[in-house]
Amino acid sequence: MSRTIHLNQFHHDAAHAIGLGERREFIREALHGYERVRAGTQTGFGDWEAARLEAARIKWDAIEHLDEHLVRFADNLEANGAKVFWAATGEDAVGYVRSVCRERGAKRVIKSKTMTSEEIHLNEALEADGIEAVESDLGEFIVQLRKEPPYHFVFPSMHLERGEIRADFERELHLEVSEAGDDPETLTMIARRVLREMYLSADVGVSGANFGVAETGSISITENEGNARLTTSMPPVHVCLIGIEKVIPRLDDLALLLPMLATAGTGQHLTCYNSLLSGPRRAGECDGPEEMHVVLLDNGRTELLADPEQRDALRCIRCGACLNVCPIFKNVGGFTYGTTYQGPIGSVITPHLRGAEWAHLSSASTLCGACSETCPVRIDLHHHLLRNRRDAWNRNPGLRERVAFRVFAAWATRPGLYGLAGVARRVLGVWPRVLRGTALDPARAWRRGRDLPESSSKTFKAYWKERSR
Amino acid sequence: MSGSPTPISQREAILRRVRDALARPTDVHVKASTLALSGHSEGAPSASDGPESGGDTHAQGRPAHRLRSGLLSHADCVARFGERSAALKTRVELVPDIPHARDLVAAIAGKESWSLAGVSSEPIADQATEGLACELWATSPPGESSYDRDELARCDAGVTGCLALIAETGSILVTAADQGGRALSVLPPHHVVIATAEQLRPDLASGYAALRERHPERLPTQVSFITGPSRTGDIERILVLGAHGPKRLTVILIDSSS
Ligand code: SF4
Repeated sequence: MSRTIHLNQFHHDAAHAIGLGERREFIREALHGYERVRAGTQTGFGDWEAARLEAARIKWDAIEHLDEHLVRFADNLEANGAKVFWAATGEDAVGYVRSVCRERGAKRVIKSKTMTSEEIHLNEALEADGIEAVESDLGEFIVQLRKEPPYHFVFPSMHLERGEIRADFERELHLEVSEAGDDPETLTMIARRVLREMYLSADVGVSGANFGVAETGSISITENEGNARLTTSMPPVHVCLIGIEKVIPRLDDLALLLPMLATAGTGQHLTCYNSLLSGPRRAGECDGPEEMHVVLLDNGRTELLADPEQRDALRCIRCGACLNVCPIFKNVGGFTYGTTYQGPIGSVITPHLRGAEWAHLSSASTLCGACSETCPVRIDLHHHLLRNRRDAWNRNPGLRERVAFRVFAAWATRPGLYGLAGVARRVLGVWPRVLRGTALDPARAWRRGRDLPESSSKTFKAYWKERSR
Repeated sequence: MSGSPTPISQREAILRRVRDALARPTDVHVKASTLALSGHSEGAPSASDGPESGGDTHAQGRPAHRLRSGLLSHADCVARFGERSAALKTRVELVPDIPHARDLVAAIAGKESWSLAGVSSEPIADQATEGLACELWATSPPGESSYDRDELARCDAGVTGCLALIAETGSILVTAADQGGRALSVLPPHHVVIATAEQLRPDLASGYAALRERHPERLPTQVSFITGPSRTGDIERILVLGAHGPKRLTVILIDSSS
């Protein structure tokens, strides 16, 4: 039942997004921009294909021996003085963070970018407890003001133009942004000023992590703004949310993975700050949080891990590159997916993480393979989408399709009947123009959104006969 | 202490699920295509390869998958660090010795009219700020364990040393243990790094080696590779410096051969 609800919502939102022509153009332009920059940066690698292969191997090993790496990661973190909480579900994770906040009597939580927190709906839970949760990443800060989810899991506010952001600032921050001042510089400085107070006054800092390093018991955070460094430096408590699949074996693996992530994600050789955090403040250090908590989140990941064909989707380093090149994402936009992780990777993993009612997302693909080609860890995304389609069908073969395929088989295996297709084609081809796209058009479902290609006047059979003469 | 540790059973329950899941081996076709086991495009030259790439990477025995530094000599490292920094909008100044570094810091302080500068308690940072005409304040004076955060928030600049410089990426490696804490290099609007040319390392991998060398037992609780001043492109992809961290980053590189 809920399957059709999600599917209908998708159709509705997609139609809406496609209708907004100017917005679509704006987003397409931005996505092309990311691609251009990335193409330039990629040349910084001696051999990009060799680098992809090596990165794929590192993450492959990490997932194949996840149990060993997890144990090592958690033990080393604890030896470093961090507390490790193993959360089977999102509710468990939320419950733990709430209890940490409660015991500290927290009033305000400052957050650096964490998609895991979006996944478990942490902000809503904290707010229900009367705790203010403030997003500090500029893009996240903006969409939070708008009460919107992130549009893209790497570029949360990429769909917005400066005028809209300015209006949000005026409305939500009760500021007068001067006429001259809706340039990105001015707007960014306003956010800087507002958030600076927050770092100093927050009781708890919540961060995500890009990698967990088993060897040293560290979390690795990649960012450009410095907000994650401040979030993990100033408040007396640091809570890190990390999915279990993010663990890698060795510190030196980062020497490849960090530049890969930067190149594929934002087209930089290296992002501005790549930090390793290994425990709370220690004797001999002059600042840092008194407590560090690391929440290791399963929340469906072991379901995906149990699938021998698709577990390799857990190797994803969340660079977002597959979204940037996806023709579907470019047209239907980030909100239409209705998921925490949008685009090809989201369509692959969401049915595993959140249930079969999200299987329709696997059809939101042209199977062009651009995603697989761009993926820095070589996840074969479009084949995973096909596997999802197959599995969804096996779980619940639709009556309509079953009948359709029977009819197709009966038709395609009988040359006499098949010949009639030519007639149907001709009929559709000359279908009166005024009736096209109306209820009287048998090809309406297709023609509603696109043109029916003109077909050749000669059939293949006729061509073949002629040729073989 | 807040929060109660996970009941051991929950850890075991998740680990059991992981082990049960992995008990079924990964599909061989997926493995073959991902790891290019059947000659799937392995070693295929990438379109982005410049003509010099094969030559300089392999000649040095550098793995082909690494970022291409192509660096051998010290002078190359200095030049590359300078190039990368310029692209990142990090200001790099070469000086021959400490007194010149000190003059330069004084000139910057004057130009930006610093009234308070935070200084990490490292010899090189202390020496470079000696006699500076503004108030100096240390985050980690010997014998003291904490500092006043409001003082730090007032600082016009943070002056620190570094653990290493990375030529191929233009990065500066700092740690909480060595460079006066976690926040000194990120909260003030200008971060000034005093470094010596001997601290240059060609690439990230050698940066991690330098980190292990300095901290063989265990890592400081915070380590950061800083690559340019803080930045964002979250509004219309237009680059803005100083999103939350320093708007300006200056490296004063003391190179006696310069
Ligand atoms: S699937 Fe690949 S391309 Fe897509 S976000 Fe993950 S790592 Fe990046």
